[in-house]
Amino acid sequence: MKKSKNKISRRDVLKGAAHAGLAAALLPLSGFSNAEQQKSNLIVEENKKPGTTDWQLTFIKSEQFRSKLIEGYCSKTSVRSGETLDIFLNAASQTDISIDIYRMGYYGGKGGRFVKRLGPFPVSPQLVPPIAENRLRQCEWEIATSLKIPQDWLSGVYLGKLSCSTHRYESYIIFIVRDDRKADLMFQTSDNTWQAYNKWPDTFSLYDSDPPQQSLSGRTWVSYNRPYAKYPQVVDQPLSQGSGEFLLWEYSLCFWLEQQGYDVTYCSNIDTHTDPSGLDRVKCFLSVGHDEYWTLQMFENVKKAVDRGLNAAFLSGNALMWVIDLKPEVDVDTANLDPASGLSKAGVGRLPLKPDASGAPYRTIQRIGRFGGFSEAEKKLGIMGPFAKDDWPNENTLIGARTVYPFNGSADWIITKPDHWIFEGTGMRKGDRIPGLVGWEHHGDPAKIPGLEVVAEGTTTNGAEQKSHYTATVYPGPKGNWVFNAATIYWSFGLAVPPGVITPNSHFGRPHGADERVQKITANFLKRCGV
Amino acid sequence: MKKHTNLISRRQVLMDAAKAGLVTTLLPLAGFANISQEKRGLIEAENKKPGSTDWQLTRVRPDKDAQRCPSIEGYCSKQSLKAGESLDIMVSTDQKVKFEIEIFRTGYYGGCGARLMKKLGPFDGYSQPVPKPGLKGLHECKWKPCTSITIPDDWLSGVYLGRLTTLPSDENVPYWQSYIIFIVRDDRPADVLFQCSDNTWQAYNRWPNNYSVYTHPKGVEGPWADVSFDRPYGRQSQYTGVVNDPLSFGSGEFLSLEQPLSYFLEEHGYDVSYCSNSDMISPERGLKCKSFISVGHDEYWDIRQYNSVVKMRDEGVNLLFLSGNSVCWVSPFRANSNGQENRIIFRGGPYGAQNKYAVDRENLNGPFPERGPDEGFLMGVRNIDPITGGGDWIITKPEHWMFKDTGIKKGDRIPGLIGWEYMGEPAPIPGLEIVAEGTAWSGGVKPQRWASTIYTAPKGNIVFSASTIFWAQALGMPPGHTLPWSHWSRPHGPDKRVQQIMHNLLRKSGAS
Repeated sequence: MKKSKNKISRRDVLKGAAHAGLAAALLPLSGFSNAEQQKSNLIVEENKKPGTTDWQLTFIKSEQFRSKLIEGYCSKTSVRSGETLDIFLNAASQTDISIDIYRMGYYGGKGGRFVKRLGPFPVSPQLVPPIAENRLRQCEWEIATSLKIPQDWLSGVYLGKLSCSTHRYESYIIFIVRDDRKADLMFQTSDNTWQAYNKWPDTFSLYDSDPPQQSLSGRTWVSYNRPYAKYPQVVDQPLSQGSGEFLLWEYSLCFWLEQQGYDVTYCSNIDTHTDPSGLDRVKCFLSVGHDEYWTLQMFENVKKAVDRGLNAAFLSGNALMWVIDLKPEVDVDTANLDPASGLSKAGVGRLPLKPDASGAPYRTIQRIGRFGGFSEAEKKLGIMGPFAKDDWPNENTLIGARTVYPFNGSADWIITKPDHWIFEGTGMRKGDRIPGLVGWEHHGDPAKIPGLEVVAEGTTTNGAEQKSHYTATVYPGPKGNWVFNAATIYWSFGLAVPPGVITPNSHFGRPHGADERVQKITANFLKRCGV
Repeated sequence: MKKHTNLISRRQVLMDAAKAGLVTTLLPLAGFANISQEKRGLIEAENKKPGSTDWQLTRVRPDKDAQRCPSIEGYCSKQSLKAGESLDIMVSTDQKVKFEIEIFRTGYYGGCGARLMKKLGPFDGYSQPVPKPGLKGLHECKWKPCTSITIPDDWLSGVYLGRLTTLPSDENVPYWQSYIIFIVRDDRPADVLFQCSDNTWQAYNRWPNNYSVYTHPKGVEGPWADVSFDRPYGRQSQYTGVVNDPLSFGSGEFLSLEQPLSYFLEEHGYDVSYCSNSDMISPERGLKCKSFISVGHDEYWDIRQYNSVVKMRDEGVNLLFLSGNSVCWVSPFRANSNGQENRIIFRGGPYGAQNKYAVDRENLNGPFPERGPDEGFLMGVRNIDPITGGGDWIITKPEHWMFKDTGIKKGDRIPGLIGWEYMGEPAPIPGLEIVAEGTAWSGGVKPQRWASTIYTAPKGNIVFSASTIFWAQALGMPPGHTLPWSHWSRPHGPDKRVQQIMHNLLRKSGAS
């Protein structure tokens, strides 16, 4: 087992941070004003560089959602420039794999910019890891390459397109480049949720359990040390092979923000967990798409930041439903491994594991509770939990509303408060609809927060019959700041449809794509946040 | 029958031309420019009218077999018609519920993709019967029309969608939708004639669940099944293998495989007029146009269509086969039980004369009553076995004029543009040039050679075969469009190089 890689790269992180501190000390004033000057133009300037639509995959072989002919993963969800990212690659037979790195943005409508080709690197077949306790699959692959992020790679979401010399199939790796600059917007990717739904190699998501099947319990753990399998539901998108859910529910927002030239910086869910003061760098925090899995620490970090005056927009649905524990890599005791079956020699048993305090941190996810505890309807369902602890803070105290049962469904986004400032200049009247924008998960049950207003609401339909209710909300923070909850995973589809994006179709409903009203509402909110 | 606007507007054009002629003596050059301006003006002016993205379906509910949406579905009495003619619209709803019909013309419209022309209804919906399959599995609906519309004089030729929407009285009851589709055609001498591949839409239409020309119990590719245009278009039949597009409910394969081309042509103001496969039974319509386009998946042609297009080519019409698997099967038209012409088709036999692939198909699935000529001598390339698969479109002759201003070099690739069906084995036509060729992989495994060709016909007109169903995917990305993924391969969407190739081909074909 080669744990050392991750330890080394953690030391690099510390060194990188020290360098950054030194540089700041050397160039105090001019550096600062330059940074301020540059700040507002960074995204605009970046997007003037030539883009390409070649960031898209062409040939994708998904077998049981997995691209076993060519696949990989990264040692971290996010990395700063100057820090090092380890990249792990696998192929079905010995080959040479190249990695074309693209930064995702607008780039004249092309949606991505080619930044660097790495490799080719010789890659030999790697082991699909045995099934450990809690159904955990943690890869221990060889490092194919270590990439030190250059100083001029602007914060963003980066895709690595993998291709090789022995066949034409491709897949992605994905990582976030974060920074420490002051910016207007913080775009948080929902990578905990990507990993929760990741079935790699076939049936090993957080929703699969050993018998008896308990999809919503704490019995299953999942590891970040795995490639992202193709997303298994709602939309048949081959471009999700290796890229989590970024290209499904998040990229459209990234594309639109960069098109508009907003000063946006990016981070991973993990950064929200580890770096509370990082939230003070921005005017508005964005939860994006499907942002279901948060740690209690993440909740507290964002809640406190809102109390300090941070604006927040939950352009997401089903956000903060589950509380997770983020554990380090684990040690799997392979003494009793039967290599043929991948199980323990005893037959059906799982290999024992224990969290490894010296392993890379934040690489293992366990579901440990329901934010706000179970609702009466959820208790009646009897399929959720059990968990050791029930009294978690209610997510609606942060979002403004919360996940309600039935969780899934579709609906038009119907305006109920057209006189609210968020609708200024949209020309919308009470009852106007954004077709199909609500789905496939939403928020309802608004919190009793002083000043909270429900700006849009309606009935969702689950399947063809079952009803639920969604509420989009806006409430004021204590410092003149604001929190908006769009109450739908699909919000970003109303902003833009970048190259390669596929409109989802779920519960017999679908959004229509870019809508000037949704663009205006989003812009109004961001403007109110001082952006 | 009323004289329709297009005649009037043609007269107007002529009058303008006359005036221009008058002016010409005074201002020769400017006058000439005006005529061209006027002609292009039809599509340009139409596309300046306000569009809406709200032509898309939002809520579609397939039944258990996933092919139809009995909540609301319908069909039209004609594939195409002219302004001044009338169309019956038949609709069924499985519940008693009110519904409305919104008619949209598809085009560019500032990127919105369609314009609302008219709202019809509300009507009282009720359930209309699924017919018992007749001999050869025929499902000919005899539904009562809910309405009949006379196409107004100012409805420009185009592909029209009727969006059917139920109007439940209770706000908490979900509404359901699907489309009807029809083509408004005209007789104007347009630069470009866009032929919809509606024979192929119908050949693959499984409505109500399993009744296409591919689903007969005797076999997949024989002459045994009849299909009727008197029934709704079900979902795109290969939605699990090519493109899962919910907008295909009721709209055939237009939105998935053809709309991006229409969107592109109208975006750029090309003078385009539209027709159905069934409008090509005689060559008259085509002979008035400078170029003819076969689009997307254009597999089924009545032999009279073939003869028409040969005649058009020989008379100087430019032919652009922006399609794959084209002219593969002879599909004779028949009248329906009311005697209305061109409402039933079946697989009558292969095109390909005595070519091996034609003979093989005859031996496997025949005897067939029909055998078409070698389609390679029309298109330049032929249907081949295997015909399915995916690959890059690879340029082999970058110096050809069709690549002017594209910056393309030999070996450059348009990623994933080949698929999911294509053509190859170029015919020995004097002067025929292969401009692109390469390998497609059927099932991701089995290699097959495809070729894209161009040749000059006797009158100096051109015949181009893009040799892929996906060609239009590289031209435009209308709202709601879903890119296909098939044989483990996918195209990337709009590509400036392919767009420039189109401009080059259209200009060479006399379009301005």
